[in-house]
Amino acid sequence: MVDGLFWEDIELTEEDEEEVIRKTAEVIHRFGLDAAAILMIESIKPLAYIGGQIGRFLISPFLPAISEDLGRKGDIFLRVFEKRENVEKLLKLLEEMAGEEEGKPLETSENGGEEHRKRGWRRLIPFL
Amino acid sequence: MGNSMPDVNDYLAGAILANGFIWIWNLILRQFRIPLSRLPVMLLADISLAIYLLAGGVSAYLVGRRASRRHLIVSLKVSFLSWLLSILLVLSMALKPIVGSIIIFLLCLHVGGVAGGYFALKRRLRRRAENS
Repeated sequence: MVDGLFWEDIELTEEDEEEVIRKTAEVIHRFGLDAAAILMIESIKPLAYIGGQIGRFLISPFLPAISEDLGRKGDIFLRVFEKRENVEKLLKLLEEMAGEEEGKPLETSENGGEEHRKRGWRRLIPFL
Repeated sequence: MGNSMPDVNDYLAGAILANGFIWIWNLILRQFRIPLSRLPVMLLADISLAIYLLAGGVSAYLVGRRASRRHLIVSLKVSFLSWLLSILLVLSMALKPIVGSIIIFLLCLHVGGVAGGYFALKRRLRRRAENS
């Protein structure tokens, strides 16, 4: 995908960006945080560039200390999501995934009644 | 659904609704102070917190239902307006300004507001899935 460790060496194609966006959306969806993520990302979208720059300054230099791979991935992540159009794409993807999840048929519970599919942390809370 | 956002009237209505909850609870506390004085103070404080959270949550949810995007911003605007109104309410009802109440209102209304915005967004996503 990319060569080199530091940001000067990284060249991201549109396909690479799409892949990062899709992977991010899948992770969020897997933990059942679609709605919470949409809520937050919609609100902080105008600060995407500033957030990316702050992340590069405060977080990016320390990530290679943990692992080289994490440093590279972190830098790619920050590069992708400092562009507002990529944040828009992530939002659209999350809304599609959340919509698909909400539109799924109801599961039958042990009591014979029907209930919504619960994923992630929602299994711990009975009324969600 | 469209691309609708709440207007000033909606925000004001949400703020007044939230303060309605608070006002009614204050009236109950005042009106039934003799029977309620037998209850532990901590229980009454907990009930008050729950009612303030409910007030923030319900008003933010109802205003958030009118929004098609930026639910968190909408619910925080409602919560902030509710808080400003609640300061006026406290100042008009108490003999002296109560800083503790104002801080509790700030926290509860905003936490409730975020929860209300979340549930409004969940409802919109569910509606969209049903329509498509």
